[in-house]
Amino acid sequence: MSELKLYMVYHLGEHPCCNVRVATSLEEAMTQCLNHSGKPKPNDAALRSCKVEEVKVNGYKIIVEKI
Amino acid sequence: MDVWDDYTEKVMEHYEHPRNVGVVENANGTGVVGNPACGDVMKLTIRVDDDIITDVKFKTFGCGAAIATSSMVTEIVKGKNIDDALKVSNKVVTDALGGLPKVKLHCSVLAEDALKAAIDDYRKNRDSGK
Repeated sequence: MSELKLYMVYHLGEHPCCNVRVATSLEEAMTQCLNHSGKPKPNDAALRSCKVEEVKVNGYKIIVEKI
Repeated sequence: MDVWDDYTEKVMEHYEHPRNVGVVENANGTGVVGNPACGDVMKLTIRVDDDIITDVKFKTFGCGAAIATSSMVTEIVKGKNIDDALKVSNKVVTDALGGLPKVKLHCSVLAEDALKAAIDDYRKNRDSGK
């Protein structure tokens, strides 16, 4: 089973949109975020990308478990 | 009018025969970006040695223009110093493809952003000693 990790997905435009996602990969986190409904799309959605990064904190190991 | 008339021969060529598809095995930089409007997702992995991009590959879940721009950006930056690679804008990619339909220009932005994300990730890894 793939390890769950914490990811941050955020919009690179002016829109201050960011989402924390639990997923097994960067791509899965991004797809989750792009697919989830109820979130207004930024005005410049077509022209600016969203970026995803694994959440890392120096000196700590983040363990994510499903409850 | 054929739907393909909107695309240059170069775009079609890269769409049908994309270069550098896959994931770099010993990558030290990864960029994943997505477009919130169309849902395209692009992953770019790079291997950088002595600040030179020695290998680069992509995986793109998206339209033909997204695939063509991904393919082209890998061709442009392979062998480049990372500082020079960061100067590769979406316009450089679009121009190299001979242009894109206006409604598909965002695909070239995705390619530029994926490249910048991968280089940013490489720099973070390098600075943290990974």
